[in-house]
Amino acid sequence: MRVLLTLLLCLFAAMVAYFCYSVYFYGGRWVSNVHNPRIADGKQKVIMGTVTDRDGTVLAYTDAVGERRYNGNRETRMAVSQVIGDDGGKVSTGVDTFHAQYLLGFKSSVLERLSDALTGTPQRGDDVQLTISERLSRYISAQFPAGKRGAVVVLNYKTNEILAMVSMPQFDPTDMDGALSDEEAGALINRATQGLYPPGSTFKIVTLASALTNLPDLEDFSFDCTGYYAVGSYSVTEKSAHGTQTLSQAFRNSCNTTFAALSQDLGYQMLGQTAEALGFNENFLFKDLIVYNSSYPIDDLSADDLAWSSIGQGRVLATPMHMALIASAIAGGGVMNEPRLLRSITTAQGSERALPQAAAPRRVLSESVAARIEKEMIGVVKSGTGTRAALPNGYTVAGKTGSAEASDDKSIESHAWFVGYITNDNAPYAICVLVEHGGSGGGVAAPLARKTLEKAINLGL
Amino acid sequence: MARRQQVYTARVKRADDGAQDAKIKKKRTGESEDGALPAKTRPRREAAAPEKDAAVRRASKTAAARLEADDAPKKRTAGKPVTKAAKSAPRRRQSDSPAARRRAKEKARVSAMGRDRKRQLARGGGFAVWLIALLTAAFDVLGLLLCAVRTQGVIDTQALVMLAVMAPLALLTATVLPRIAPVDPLLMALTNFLCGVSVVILYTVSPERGIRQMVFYVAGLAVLLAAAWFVSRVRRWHGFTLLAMVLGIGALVLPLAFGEWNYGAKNWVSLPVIGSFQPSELVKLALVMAMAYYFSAHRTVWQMMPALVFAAACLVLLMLQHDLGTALIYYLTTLALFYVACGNLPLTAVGLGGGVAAAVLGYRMFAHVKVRVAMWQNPWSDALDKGYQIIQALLAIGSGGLFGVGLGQGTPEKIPAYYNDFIFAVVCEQLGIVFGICVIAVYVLILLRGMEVSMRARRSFDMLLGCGVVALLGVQTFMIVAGVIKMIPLTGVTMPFLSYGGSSLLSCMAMMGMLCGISGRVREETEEDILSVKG
Repeated sequence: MRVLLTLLLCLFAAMVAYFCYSVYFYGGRWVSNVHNPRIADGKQKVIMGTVTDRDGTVLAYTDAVGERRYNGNRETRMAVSQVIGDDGGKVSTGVDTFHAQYLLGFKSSVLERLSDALTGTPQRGDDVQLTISERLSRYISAQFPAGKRGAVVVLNYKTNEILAMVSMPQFDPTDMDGALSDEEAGALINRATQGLYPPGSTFKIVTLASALTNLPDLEDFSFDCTGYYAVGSYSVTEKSAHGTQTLSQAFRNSCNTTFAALSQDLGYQMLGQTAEALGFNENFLFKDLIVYNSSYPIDDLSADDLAWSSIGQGRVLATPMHMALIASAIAGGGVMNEPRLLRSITTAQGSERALPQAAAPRRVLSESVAARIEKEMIGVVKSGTGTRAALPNGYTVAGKTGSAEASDDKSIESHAWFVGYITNDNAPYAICVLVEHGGSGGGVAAPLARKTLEKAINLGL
Repeated sequence: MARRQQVYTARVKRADDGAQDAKIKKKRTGESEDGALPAKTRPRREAAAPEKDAAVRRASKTAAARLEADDAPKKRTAGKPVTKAAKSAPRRRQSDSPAARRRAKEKARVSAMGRDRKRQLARGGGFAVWLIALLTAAFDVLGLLLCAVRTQGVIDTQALVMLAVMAPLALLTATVLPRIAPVDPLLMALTNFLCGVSVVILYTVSPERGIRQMVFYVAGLAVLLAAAWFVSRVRRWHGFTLLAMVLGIGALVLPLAFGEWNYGAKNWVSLPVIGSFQPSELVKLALVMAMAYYFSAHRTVWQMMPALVFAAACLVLLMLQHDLGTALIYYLTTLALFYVACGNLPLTAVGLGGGVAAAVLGYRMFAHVKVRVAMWQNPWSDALDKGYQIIQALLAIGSGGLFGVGLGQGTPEKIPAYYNDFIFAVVCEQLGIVFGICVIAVYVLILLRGMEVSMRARRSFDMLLGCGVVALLGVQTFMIVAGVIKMIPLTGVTMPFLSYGGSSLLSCMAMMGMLCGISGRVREETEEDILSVKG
């Protein structure tokens, strides 16, 4: 009988524990889900709060008649369109939907609602200030290669604030009919957080990290690149032979054959371990924004699968936001943090509401490995494939380029990537640039990264 | 599990009125689970106690054995330290002074314990009951008042009438009723709370259902009283058990014969006069009764067979009705009670294995089980169709937040079946997650109190009956709440006391009545013991 009672009590305890767990981790996401009919209902009853950028520029507000209005400048509206979202909830990851629980006052306490009811004012949601800079976003949108799709993410790796999150193409929230009529363009998707792309050579950061962590004697490592590395029934090729190189040289030249060979030494378990430590296959449950999960295949890797994975091709997929987080983690000495999008939340009564609690920082790489990778990444920008990302005036940029092939058809241009950061303490910016079918990372993404970082320094964010 | 009973005096009445009146006092008797008795047991009044409840008979035998055992050390040891057995026999007549002192001390101790016990049993934790009753009444009053003035300028008199019914009932049934009827105050107060929440919540969302639920609640109180009286009075269960089993099988056949497919199951039936009801809810009572009877009186597996066959028949009929959730409740209750009754772990494991095999088979056979499991793993994959209800439930819970959107606020009607299966999500949306956890805590309290009552029961029939009720309510509550919060695949069972529906509420009230009846009998017997000690 005691056994029965104990069993029942355990079941109930497990149930309450699971309930608390799921409400804590998913509760916010349930509220802000596009399928939640309460958001549309709430908009009828509650005056939705105002959304501003980090400088206080109003990005979205509700006017006297209860209509949702957006910034008057069309360029600004477009530049932050996916971050803010739209009134109809078409952009499910936008702040207007994802943080509706604040904007619509779901988080208001009984007292706050009571005071609203007593004073006779209609209920008003909280105002939300974001960490993004409207000016930087607008600049990036203007500088983005015309007609191309892609995304740019700028983070402050000291505060973990997202300074810009731009996705191309963009839409105008005041003209949703136009955006919806051209759904092919995919303007409603935030490519920075929802776009899953093969990371290409930028993934060599992960492979390098795994090698530095797991393999001994890397100082004496050298590899003769013949432009061809046979593995299994396939081969990893290079446009031209690099000849005999050290690990640093191979990383600077972004030599595929060297890293494919390294991956064979590592094996899929070790490489998979490092990739998962850096957030691949992880269920990102960030409190401030939705980021789609990156994937790294750990199941049944054949030798050639492993070789392709190690250079970020094959089944490896990552979002630009995730790659920017990896850059931040290396800049932060191997500690990864949750990105923040909310800067402050102000209630209708004018008091500050506590921001959602971020997960604790997590050490993903040892400090020495992170320092070593930083050295190599500086080398890439100094004398490797990423020279066009270099900044003048004493700013040192560490980075890695990537040209990820997205198709077997060689006439289709590869995705251009640049992942990196400024090492200087007074400009702690990490960046990830992705231009879909843009060409080479060094030629297309790196210059855009340089311009963006320069602008961020000038704006003094 | 008579060995865990703590009782204080040993007294056996003369046998003219039958052995069932025997009051047994023993401290940790040596009786084992399978009823093995000490070798020298000699059934004294077997002839005088014809075909009585076997548990009672066995108990009286043990008492007789105890008396004999008590006599033995007396002869051998005059002034030496007494054995444990001798200690527990305070009514022995001895004249030497150390023994007299011991006896006086023992008597004082027993009466102190008796007082303690009486206070406990008579008031059921007095303060707590009053607190819960007052909170329930306050909840009913405030909730229904809010409903009454909800529409501006119009007073909803219906809500006021309901208030006038609900609040006094909540107070009186928990505080006054236990004085005149075999009703456990704490269980009553907790039941009132859940029913109050149910009526108020249903009234805010769908007034019609709220009113009907209140009618069912009042009827349920009558059923509860009847069940309590029945359980505390009836001594011979054989006939009733057989009757219940026959009626149970008959009732489960009804929907198959006359019912209609509804939401993929055929578990409702509409009868003239009674109206439409769900027989599987009411057959739960027969199941618990049958198992308590056959498991207590017949201790070999073979002798338990009638109850096991009955349970198996019920399971088959429920499978045919495609009511797999209820089948699971029946199955788990049977298994739990089987284990409690015989403690046979290997056989229980075999039963569990059979259940798992059946579950795998069911998963293969029934397409809708596959859908349920898939929707549990990832409801978002089909958010607008198959995963719709579970997602809407989660969204409702999330939207309510910690303290809810407020009574009568929110849009619970977006959840399909919000009034029965998903009532927990509605409670969480309106009154908050914290309140939801409080509701779960109330269920846990009911389980704990039910278990306590069962443990105190002196007849193994009562003990098993109480255990069965607790196991059934516990399993059912767990299945639906865990299903709604997506911890386990959803099974369409009702939430005891909270869900809208007459069959469900009446059967739950009847089960609560059984617990009350057991509690009432325990109280009665304890009081008699105390009187006998004093006298």
